[in-house]
Amino acid sequence: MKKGLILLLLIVIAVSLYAQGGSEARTTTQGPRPVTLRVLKIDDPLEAMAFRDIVAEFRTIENGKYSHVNVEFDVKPFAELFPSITRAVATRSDVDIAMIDGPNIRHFAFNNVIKDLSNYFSKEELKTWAPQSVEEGSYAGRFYGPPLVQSAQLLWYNVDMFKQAGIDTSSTDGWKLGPDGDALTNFKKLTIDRDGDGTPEVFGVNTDGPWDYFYGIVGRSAGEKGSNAYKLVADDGITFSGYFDSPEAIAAYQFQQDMVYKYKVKSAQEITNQMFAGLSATHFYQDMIIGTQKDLFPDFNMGAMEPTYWTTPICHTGSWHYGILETTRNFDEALAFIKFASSDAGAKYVWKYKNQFPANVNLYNTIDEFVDPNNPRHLLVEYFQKAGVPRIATPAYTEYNTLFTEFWRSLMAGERDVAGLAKRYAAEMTKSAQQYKGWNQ
Amino acid sequence: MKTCNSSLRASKLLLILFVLPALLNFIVFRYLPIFWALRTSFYNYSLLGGYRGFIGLENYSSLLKDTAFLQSMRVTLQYFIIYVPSVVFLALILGNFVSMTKPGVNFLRAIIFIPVVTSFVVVSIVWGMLLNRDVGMVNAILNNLGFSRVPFLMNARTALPTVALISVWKNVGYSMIIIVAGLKGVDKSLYESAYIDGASSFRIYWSITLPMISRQIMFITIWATLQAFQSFVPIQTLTGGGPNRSTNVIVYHIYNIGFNFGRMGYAISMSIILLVILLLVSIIQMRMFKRDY
Repeated sequence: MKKGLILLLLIVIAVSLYAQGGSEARTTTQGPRPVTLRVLKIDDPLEAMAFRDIVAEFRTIENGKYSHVNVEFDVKPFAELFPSITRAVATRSDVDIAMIDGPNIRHFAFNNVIKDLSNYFSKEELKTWAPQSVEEGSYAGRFYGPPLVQSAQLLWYNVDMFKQAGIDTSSTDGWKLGPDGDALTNFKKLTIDRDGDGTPEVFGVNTDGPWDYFYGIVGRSAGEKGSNAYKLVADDGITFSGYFDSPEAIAAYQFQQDMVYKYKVKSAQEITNQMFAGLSATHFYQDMIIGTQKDLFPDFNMGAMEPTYWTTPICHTGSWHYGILETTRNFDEALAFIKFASSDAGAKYVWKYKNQFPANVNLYNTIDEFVDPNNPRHLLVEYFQKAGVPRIATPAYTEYNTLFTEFWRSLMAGERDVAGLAKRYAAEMTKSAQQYKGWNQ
Repeated sequence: MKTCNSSLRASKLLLILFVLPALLNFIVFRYLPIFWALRTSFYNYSLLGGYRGFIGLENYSSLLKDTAFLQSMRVTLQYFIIYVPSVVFLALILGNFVSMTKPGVNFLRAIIFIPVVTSFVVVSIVWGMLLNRDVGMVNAILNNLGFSRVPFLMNARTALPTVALISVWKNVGYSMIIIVAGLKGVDKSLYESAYIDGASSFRIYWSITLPMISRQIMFITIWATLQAFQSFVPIQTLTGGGPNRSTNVIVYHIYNIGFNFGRMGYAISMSIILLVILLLVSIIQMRMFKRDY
């Protein structure tokens, strides 16, 4: 009996170990070996639909040259994607392509995580995308990743609230920030404290997440083009002291805090769908807000204008890029896939389902919504071309953004010594970036 | 005799074979990574850059001068001081209450336990909304009662206690169930004897109930301690370590250093220090509760 049990147990262990073996694609007797491309990307149901169509069409291009290619997607929430890519590289996981946030292209390129694709994209091909997209996908003058989409921001507003406040909406020019600027004047008109308890029920302007994408432009807008404040970081990409904490930037940070605690036109914490919920009159955001409005708040009357600014109008650009990992064993297929996906033929599917500002010049110059001067997307393109700048060029972007988020949270929490806070964090940003010294030489 | 020995050997072999999968699991997925981590802490290591050279104890000596690390340890200690006594005390009270044979206690027990089985991310997001300074329900009630609004998660003084209490609310149900199980195991005849001898309710609780459930109290204390020192989800979801790093607990700090600042070797050295601290604390707590088992 016991011997029988032992034998049975050994068989079970042996079978389970055998079953753990990896399942490689079986070779076919005819045609190229089947290839499975593994793509690590953000979890987005709209993108999932787009990529379904992209993959289907990719397999038919060039007379079915890539019909042997399957594409599998490993999706992660936004906050987990960067650590996931890092883990995949460290463990040499079987990942061919990663969707990389534009500002992190330099970080991964510096660490030899993604392949230099300069020799695989001609100058003509690079003109497919906006110059900002090419810059964001590059590192030290080399091209590492074509874009999936682009982004820019406008100040979206509740038309009914603007009418009630008597604000003229005939002009789309942005309002100037500052204690004497028309932004504050108008935000005060739009802020409503019905019960007089000192906490408005409706704020003049919304509060976004505490990230560089939304609030990094606060300091940058405070300086003239080319100034230290505008640059936010030195040309070496690792020195923040004297730039992040320049006097003009500090004044702008102080004003942002004053909008919460002194003028009370802005909430201290972010509120989901703040404008659509009737809790703010305006919302600084990308054009994706149009999709949210149409899907979830179809009766909401929304307008758009250029964003507020301090000295120099500015908005951050940039979104996801395709990066081919150095560990890929299917480079040719991966390259062909990202070339197709980022081409006009592929990008049109992303536009179709996701409705986000495409990076492809031909698309945003021909799609009706971007061409129609009465459509806010046309204003978005104009502002993108006029004032859109990529986020700061540094391989230490993740370190910088982590510290920026801490800084902004403290600022919005009412830290009294704003100048001291800015200087402290500028010093920490500089210190954390030193490991990348010489990256662009 | 021979048959007896071979039968004994077969029994031992069978025993080992049954334990082997679990043992392998522990070795491969727990102890080997710990030893690998310990080895890696002596190197300048990052996930993307790999091993960049042996540096000996440099990571550990840097920790002594790292004000951010020391601050995160202080914050974690503050969190521990709020969290552990709250969980233990509440678990005892609730456990005793739901152990009574009264109508509705089963329902109450279930209500208290529901947060335990709810995702901590979801719990954190919901509490974040409730505690929002400007539009949250809690502040709306406070305002209506004539109190000033409280920036629970936006103030360096209130953020940590707020997060700790949210964690208490989420986790106390588990400790309560442990206490309930312990109370059910107490011999009723001990209480009867005590009543006959004229002991007061407090005396009975202090001299009979508490000693009889001391193992359970020890367990929930150690469990709560481990949870306190490893708190991460509510910090990441609600405060991001702020404001002003007032909620920057050690595990969150380690995560930031390892994944966002690319210094995994340094982060691992912090983890090793944390492991040693937790081992010491657990040993001390077990000794404090030691009985003749």
